Amino acid sequence: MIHPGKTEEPAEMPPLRSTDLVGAIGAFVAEVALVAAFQNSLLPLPIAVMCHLIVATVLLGRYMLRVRRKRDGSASLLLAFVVLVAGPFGALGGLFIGWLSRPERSDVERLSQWYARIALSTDVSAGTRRSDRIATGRIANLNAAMPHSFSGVLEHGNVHDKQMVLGLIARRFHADYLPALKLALVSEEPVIRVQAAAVAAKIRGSLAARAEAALTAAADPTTPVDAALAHVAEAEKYAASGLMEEPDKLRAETLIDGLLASAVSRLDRTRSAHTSAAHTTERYEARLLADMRFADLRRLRRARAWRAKHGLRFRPVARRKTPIRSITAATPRPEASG
Amino acid sequence: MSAPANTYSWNRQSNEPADICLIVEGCYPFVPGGVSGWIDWLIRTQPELKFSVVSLWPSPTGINPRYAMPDNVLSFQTIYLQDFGSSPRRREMIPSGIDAFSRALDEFMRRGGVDALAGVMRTRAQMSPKLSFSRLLNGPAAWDIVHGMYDRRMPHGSFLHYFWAWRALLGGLFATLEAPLPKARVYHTISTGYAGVLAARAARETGRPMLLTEHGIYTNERRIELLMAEWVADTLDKGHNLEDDRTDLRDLWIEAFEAYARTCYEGATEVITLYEDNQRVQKVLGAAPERCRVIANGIVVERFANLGRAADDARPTMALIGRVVPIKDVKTYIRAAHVLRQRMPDLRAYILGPLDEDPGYVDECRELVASLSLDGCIEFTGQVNITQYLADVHVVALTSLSESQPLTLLEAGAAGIPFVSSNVGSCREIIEGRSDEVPALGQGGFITPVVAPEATAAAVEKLLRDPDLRRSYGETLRTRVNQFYRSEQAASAYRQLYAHYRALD
Repeated sequence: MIHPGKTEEPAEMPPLRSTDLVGAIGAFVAEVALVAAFQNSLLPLPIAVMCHLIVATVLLGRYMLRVRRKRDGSASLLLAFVVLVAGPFGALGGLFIGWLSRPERSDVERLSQWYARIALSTDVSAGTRRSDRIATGRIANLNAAMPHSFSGVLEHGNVHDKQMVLGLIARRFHADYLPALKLALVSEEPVIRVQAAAVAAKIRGSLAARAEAALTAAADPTTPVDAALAHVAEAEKYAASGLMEEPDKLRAETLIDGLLASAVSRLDRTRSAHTSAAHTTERYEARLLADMRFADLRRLRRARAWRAKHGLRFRPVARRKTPIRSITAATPRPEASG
Repeated sequence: MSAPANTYSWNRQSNEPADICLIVEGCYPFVPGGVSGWIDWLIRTQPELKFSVVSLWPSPTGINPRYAMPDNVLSFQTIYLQDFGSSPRRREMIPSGIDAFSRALDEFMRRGGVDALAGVMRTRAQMSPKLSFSRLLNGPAAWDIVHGMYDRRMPHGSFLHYFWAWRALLGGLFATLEAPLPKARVYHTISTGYAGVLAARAARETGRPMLLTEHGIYTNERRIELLMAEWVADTLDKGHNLEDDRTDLRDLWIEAFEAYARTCYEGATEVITLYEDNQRVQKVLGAAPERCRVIANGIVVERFANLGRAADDARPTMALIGRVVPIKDVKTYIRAAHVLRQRMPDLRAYILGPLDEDPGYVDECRELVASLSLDGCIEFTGQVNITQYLADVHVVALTSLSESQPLTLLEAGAAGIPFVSSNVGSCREIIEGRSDEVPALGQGGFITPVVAPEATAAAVEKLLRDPDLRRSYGETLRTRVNQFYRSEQAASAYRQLYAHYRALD
């Protein structure tokens, strides 16, 4: 498991530091001198042993100093131990360990792999990532209270919370946040108005693209009718936000009309969605009324009455692939017959 | 004493203490307009005083100064916040007392305040051996500090992200705390942030008075940036919960800037801003009400006094005066012109301002004009002498998303032209009058919501269709600007402040 919060170091033998190497050489020289002095009867055994212990103690002191400074002292401890046990041979062994653990070029690669792993820049499965977030306590607090309504906070909250909400709207924008943003734009608090204006300016540039994406999804004949309607409703919110550029807004509204009409037609053929059909038809009729397109309205009502009178039932129709770019060119109209 | 590697400085005369040390961040003398222009104005309107200037920058920019140093500037010094020191040449011992220093830093970054700043300086002085701030940031001791602060502050979050945020925040702070201070009788900072911390440090170390003048509220601007920033990673999943008290990177950054601001407000002898709304925010952020005052900016009104007026029967004309950049929301102005042109087909709408700052945005505006068929109505003039245009303009409009105290509003007012402005900065105060205006002069135009082309169009239309209302509002605005927003009034207010605090021993 990955623990990005806790930096696991790559597993390897801790290298001897340069001061450890100096210590190892010093210990080797001292131990060789002691052995030579003892063999040549220059030192009695107890004195030679005592000197040997002093050398080991000095090395141990080096270890303790590192521990006190919260540094890795394992290499120093190892050196002290091998010198204590094996005298000059131990010191030689320490030097050998130092040679073995010398930094090499390959370490850089290992280090970068390790860094990539802890920075989560390597490929890990969604499950691993999720389990890691749970293990490190980074998931949402499930015991926390329910989030507050954004509009409620912007009407009644304190300045701090209002700013937090506007930050969330900016970073995780959704069409449903537009009413809250509009509230913030006319807030009594200058600080909130300024921030809301900054948020509006930030998202305004993306609204046309968002509306287009929603309408493209809605126009896809493979999209179920209810999902298509949800996409159209989303695009309607963007168009009604007052933040879209006029030409983009007009284009979106034209497409919305066509897609709504198409959805009415598809729903009217479906027995299983009477409520949705009625709701969508009402929305479409309201739009036709608002636009004073009375001829279209009469045509729509005649078609519905005729279908109702003859009790037409759903029958599958051949689906036709509609290229995305053709959406803007062709505006579907309600079909006159089922 | 030689300057550390992260500073650039020159002295006109070496040992003379300045009367005023101005401390500025990210503007003068390298960025034109706005606060830089104000600083240049301030120095030049106080020729009897000697100034030194400390300018804080993230890193060397290679930009040439846009302002020539006035003769009364004795010294100039830059401090680079993110280019602070380098790794020590050899390994260093970890000083004793590092834990106390780490805790003091933690306290300062969380809560700020002059006492917390003193705690940082004291615990650093008590370390043995005493290391410089750059060695504390770049040497082995940094590990002990960052580790301790991370464990206390953000244990749930990503250490890697924390580390880099820590480097950025403390790099700036340490650069500020280690920089040499010019000698001066009064220290005057033009924002909170790092400049504010340096000013608070100067006041603490020298015992001299420190003034703060804020045009925009620095902490609030940073907070807005940070809350919206995509570059700050969310390492904790807080969902939409506003009450989750776990600290994440965004909180860390915001808290740091709030702590810096609190330190500056506490250390300041006077907290000045341009208008009342800003003052309310300053108080919320920690400024003591008894130290707060408003000194509005001013203009040379005589320059606009005799420009003449657009005739009633002339082609109805409105103008937006300003750079064509997103913050001015020129698109809302264009959309307002579109709405208005449907009701007044011979409308003319000027956009008087430079086009070179954001060419992409200018192109978008031109496209919008073309798509709305406003080519014969809207005219982009580029940078012009506005006095040559104001005589043809009936109404000036401003659709900015953010302003502090726009000079264009004062200039239009001085020319007797009514104004329609979005509700930003001090626009309401200038157009409708301050709460303590005696006698109340009345309205000088209309205030509209931000990003509201219909409302802007309606307000402009009202003024275009009613010559009497237009004249009456224009005169009101002219009277108000003449009474309260003259350049010499602002200069005099600062002269008196400086004289008072320079005299203190």
